[in-house]
Amino acid sequence: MKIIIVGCGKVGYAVAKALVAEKHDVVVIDDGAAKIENVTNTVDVMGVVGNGASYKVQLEAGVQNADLLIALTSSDELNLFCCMIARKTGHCQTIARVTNPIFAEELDYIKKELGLALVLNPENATARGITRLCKMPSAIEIDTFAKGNVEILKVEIPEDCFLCHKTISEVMSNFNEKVLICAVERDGEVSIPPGDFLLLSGDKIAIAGQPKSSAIFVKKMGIPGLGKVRSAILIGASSISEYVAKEMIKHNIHVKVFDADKVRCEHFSVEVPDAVVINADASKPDVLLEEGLERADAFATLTSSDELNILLGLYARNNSKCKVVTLINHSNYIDVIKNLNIGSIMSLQNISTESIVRYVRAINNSQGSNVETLYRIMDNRVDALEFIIGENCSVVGKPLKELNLKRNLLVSCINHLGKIEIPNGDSIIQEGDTVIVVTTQEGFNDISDIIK
Amino acid sequence: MNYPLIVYILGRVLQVEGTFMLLPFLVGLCYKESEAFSFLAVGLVEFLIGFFVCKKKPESAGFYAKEGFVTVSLCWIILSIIGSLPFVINCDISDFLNAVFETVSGFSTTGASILEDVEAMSHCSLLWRSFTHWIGGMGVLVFVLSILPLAGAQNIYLMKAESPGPSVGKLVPKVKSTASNLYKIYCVMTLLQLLFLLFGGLDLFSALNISFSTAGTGGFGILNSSCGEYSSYIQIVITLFMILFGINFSVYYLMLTKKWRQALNCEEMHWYLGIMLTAAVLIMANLLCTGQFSGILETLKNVAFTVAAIMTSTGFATIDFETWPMFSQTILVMLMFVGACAGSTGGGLKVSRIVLYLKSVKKMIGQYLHPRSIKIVKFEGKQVEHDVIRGVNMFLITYAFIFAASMLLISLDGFSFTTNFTAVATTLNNIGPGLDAVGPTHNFSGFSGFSKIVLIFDMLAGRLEIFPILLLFAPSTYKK
Repeated sequence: MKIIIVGCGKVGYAVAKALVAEKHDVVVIDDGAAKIENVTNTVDVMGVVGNGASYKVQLEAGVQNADLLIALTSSDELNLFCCMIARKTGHCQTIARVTNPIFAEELDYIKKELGLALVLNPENATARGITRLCKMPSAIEIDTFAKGNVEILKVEIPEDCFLCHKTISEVMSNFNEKVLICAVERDGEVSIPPGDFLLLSGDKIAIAGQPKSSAIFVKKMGIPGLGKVRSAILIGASSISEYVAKEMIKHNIHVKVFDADKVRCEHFSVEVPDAVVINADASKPDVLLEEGLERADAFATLTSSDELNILLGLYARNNSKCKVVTLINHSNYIDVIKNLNIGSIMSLQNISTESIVRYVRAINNSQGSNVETLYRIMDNRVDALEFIIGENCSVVGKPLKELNLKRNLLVSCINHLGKIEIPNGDSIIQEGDTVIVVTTQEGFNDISDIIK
Repeated sequence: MNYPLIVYILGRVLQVEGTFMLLPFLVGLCYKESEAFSFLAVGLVEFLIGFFVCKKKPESAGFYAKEGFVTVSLCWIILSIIGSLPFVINCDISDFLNAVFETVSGFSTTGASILEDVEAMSHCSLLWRSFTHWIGGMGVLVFVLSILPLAGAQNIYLMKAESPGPSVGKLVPKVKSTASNLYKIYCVMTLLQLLFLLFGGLDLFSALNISFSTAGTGGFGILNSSCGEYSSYIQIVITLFMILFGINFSVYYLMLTKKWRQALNCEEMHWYLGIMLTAAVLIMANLLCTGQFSGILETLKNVAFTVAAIMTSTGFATIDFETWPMFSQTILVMLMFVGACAGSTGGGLKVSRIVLYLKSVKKMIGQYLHPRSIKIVKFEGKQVEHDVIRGVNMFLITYAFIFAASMLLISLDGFSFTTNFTAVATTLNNIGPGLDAVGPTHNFSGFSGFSKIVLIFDMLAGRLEIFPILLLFAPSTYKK
């Protein structure tokens, strides 16, 4: 597909890289010549220097033959304007990033009236992710599939857990609830484990299953010190913490927000009246201790400074037993960061990239079996994809064991119209099902890609 | 430095050159020449070496500007040395250094020859000579990029190091499709010229050779008189195609995508055609004043041919321009330095650089008059980044140093100043003929071995625009 990306900031760059990896023709527009120079040198894209909202610049980038324009500048209004111009100039679909909470409730209206294919609000998505983590604090990562009916949780196996020194098939046969261990990370290596894989303490495992079943499973694992979250501390009165606070209050979690900027605090208080807003510099340890860091159940660092977020996350881990969630805005160093003891990491950039890649895969493949959901789990090294099974699909009607499946791949879950099945070799995929596939390979577009 | 990947790419290049050698072999077979088998042997061995080197794909895909420069220069040196082996084996050019000179001259699209008698060569060797022009014109790594899926996204560094011009861009988002689009345009234009030449009654062999030479703006002829013996029609066709191959290829891509207005508004092309026209008019007037006239049409044809041949850096000749008055000869020498457009197959400093020099000088004068004024240099309707201007300026300085050093070195042979000056000018700018002892009716065989090595360096440096070759010899490139 021919795709134009307007705005080559950190998100734009990451999206360009992800789309080129999926073999699309990408043109990037930015008004900073240095940014364009950098992206054209390191990613196989063409660059155009100019204002992406200009009709002339869009023509130069080839909007007339483009299939999709994605506006990812830091300005919501500019993004929307770029998309409007692109709709008139070319015949492409458009995606705009709109993150300002003011527009949050108007997104459906904007999308319909401006004819956008997708409005991207990664901050809102991140906020929902953070709230999910607070509801299940033992998990490091949670992704939902099948309209919330299936979750994939990432947890670390604690010492003396009933899982230690058992193979996966033993665990599965001894456990009544239907869950599936679909990926394992050990010593930095990620793999899709076979049935005879021996689990050890310290392994990080991904568990697929219905929320209820996996909750029982995780409870039985006995990860110490984490109970239900009733109160949370948020650092930074940013728009993302506004989303988080609203979402948490909906779930009856008491929210306390810190920010050093008085104007932002006042604004926050207007938008989220139920939150306790504290105008203080959270980077001073006394402030946090005074306001009850030790008694809080959850702690989320949501400022725009990654360094501050990491530092405060470390501080909270050392001084409290609460669930810590650290927001990473730009994940250049995520490989290093993940080794730090900073609890769960939410990467804003990855969430944006995921939703765009998911959407592009879906429109790239309009008939057959669409990618409904795509998550990159286990530090982006495993793709968890949800496919809708269309007509005449090659995998339909045969037991899984008779299909010649590719290696490093696991069919983790079959959703028969709301009835969730954790598959074994005898399970059969039917038309109209949605199927969750976990794989370490990249570039799956269609369910038939799982067959050799 | 990622040596395994560099070796891998070199292996691919060897495979490509080995395959290319089949063409002279087949031509040789048609003429029942025993010399042809030297091409088969060298090509086969080369292909096999390349095949074994490429068997294992390197794991690390890290490839940056440094690797790009080193790969490109190494590749050109190895290509030239291997490309010269068939000449030595089949005894068409028995001296190894001469053979390397001839091959470098071919790949770098210079067209300077050490051969006293071109017509004594076998057909297959003649074709290989012209074919090296064609391969070198657009660049062998660009060819490799267009057909092979190389690992990593940083292939742009290879393309940047090999393609001429102050700033190399892409035609389409992917390096691979950009490279294959360039080659498609190149092939179609070569084919067109071939058809026009065949239409003019030329035999297939000559037409093929001339098309290859013109396309690469090289200048190897297959007759001792270069192009002097061909009919006027053939000479006019060659003139037109020389001019066409000297234009930035992105203009043709714009035309293919029906962006006519943008294509015709190419600023560099206007300057290029403008300079060419002015030079031709001045030389015509000069010839008219000095009475060296043999019919207006005949003179016009010869002047147009010579101006195009020199400015596009092709270096074909229809007449001996050394008989022209000094004013005309000086214009020709100046044209050598101007060269063709960036992004074409031609050599020289490139029109876009010259234009940027003029604009920078104008800006500088403006700043002397109004010290607080701000003036941004624009080219092709766009702001030129300061880094580009700096790069262009540094290029000229380095170019001047290399020019001076080369002149000094070859002056040991004791030729006249004109000979030395134009010999360096013609090799560094990839033209072909110079003046005096290296004029259009002479050749480079008189130089000593040492001078030939200096000139070989100049030809490669000229084709790759100096810096890749300099980096290859800079010790700091290899420091960890």
